[in-house]
Amino acid sequence: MNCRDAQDLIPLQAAGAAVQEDSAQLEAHLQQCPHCRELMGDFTQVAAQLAIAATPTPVPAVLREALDWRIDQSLTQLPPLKMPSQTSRMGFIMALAASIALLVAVGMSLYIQHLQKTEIHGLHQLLAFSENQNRKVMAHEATVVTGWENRVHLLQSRVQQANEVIKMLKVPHLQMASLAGAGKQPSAFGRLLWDQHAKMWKFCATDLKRLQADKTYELWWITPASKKIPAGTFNVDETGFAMFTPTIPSGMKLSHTVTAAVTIEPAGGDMQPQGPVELIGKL
Amino acid sequence: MISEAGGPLGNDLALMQGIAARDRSALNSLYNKYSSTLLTLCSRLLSDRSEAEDLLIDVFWELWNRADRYDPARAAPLTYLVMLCRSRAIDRHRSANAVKKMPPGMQISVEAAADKGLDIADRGERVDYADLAEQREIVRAGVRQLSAPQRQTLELAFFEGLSHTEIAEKTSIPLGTVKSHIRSGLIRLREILRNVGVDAESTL
Repeated sequence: MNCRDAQDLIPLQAAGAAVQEDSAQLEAHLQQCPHCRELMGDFTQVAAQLAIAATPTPVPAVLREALDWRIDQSLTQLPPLKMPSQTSRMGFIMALAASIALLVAVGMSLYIQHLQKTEIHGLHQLLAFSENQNRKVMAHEATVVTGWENRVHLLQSRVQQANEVIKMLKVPHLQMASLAGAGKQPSAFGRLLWDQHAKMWKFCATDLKRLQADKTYELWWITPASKKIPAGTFNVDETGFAMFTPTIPSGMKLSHTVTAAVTIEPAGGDMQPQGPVELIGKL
Repeated sequence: MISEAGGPLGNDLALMQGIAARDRSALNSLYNKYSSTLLTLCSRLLSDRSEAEDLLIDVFWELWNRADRYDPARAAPLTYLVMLCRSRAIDRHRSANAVKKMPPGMQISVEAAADKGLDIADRGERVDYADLAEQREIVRAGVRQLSAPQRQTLELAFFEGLSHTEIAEKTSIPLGTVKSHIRSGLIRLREILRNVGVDAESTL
């Protein structure tokens, strides 16, 4: 590989994008060429800056404990044992040897106790670390279970809603009207299903944004005389969907109503629409 | 690369020398300074969070045991740590015989981090060093000046460990164009950092 090819490859290698064969050839060239080697170092430094640019991740304290424990374990070492010396006088030698042997025995006993304490301390740390890890795993599993429970609940709710819609679709004099998104939610829409004879009504909304806790959506009937009659409030689920049975004043016929609209009102609804129109459609 | 007596680089080099001399406080200081930066890198390279944490500890453990192998003439300390993280992550990929990818929703691009300053819920000790924070902003500003294709290809190469061939397959960009983006992106970033007076040697 010549310098020109190497210098083409150096930025790729520094970014970690070079394939293995190219890396090997480049490495061989760098061994021989100090100029390219210096360039490689320069680009490696630049690439490393990318790691700094990303937002740092808070490091759990337990990782520091794990590193400290590992280092502590590696620092535990056995001291060398000292052999007793001998003198020419037998009696003195015997006494001295016995004393030394006794000292050695006592020393070893004490040392073994120290080792055991160190080992116990290390085991305690390991146990604490393991318990921390177990707690993390259990917390994670609890979160997963809760998530699945929530999904099951949502699916059950959806099944119930689907059954209600199917029931509506079976009525003999079914009428339907569509409400289109208006204002800031052009992709939202609503469907109104009703059978005046069977006295069944159902309203569904899709792709509406979830509101803050102090707000709610409210459905309105608008008469030919532009009178606004409240038909009920609703809130959408996390997918932007809602279905409910609207309120129809006694004696009112939906076919006599010109328009239906949905606005955003304070939580609990209002007697007259104040907020922006999000859905509107003619009946 | 020449070590300096003072400044952030000088401090980091002194810490590396301390670690080589088995000074625990030097290791603690370097860990406190760079562990959060490196954990982000490990988390990007390995999609599994616990593996990323293991990798972080392995890197500092290896640093503790082999600090005498560090050559300041070849790389500044943070560069050395970054390259060590990437190298060990690749080793793990090879041993697992699988390239793991982060779920799309979890991918946080350098661009997004630069533009939106995304924050992750604080679950542990968090220390921000003034010199590192300042350098982070400078680099982010530099990255923002790259074109979108340059940022994308550099991100895929550096943070996801993809080769130029794999990037071309993933993005459907011609191979030659991918190489060109990576090359020109890194050359451009080098110029930008030099123009703003950020010499990687003097600020690390």
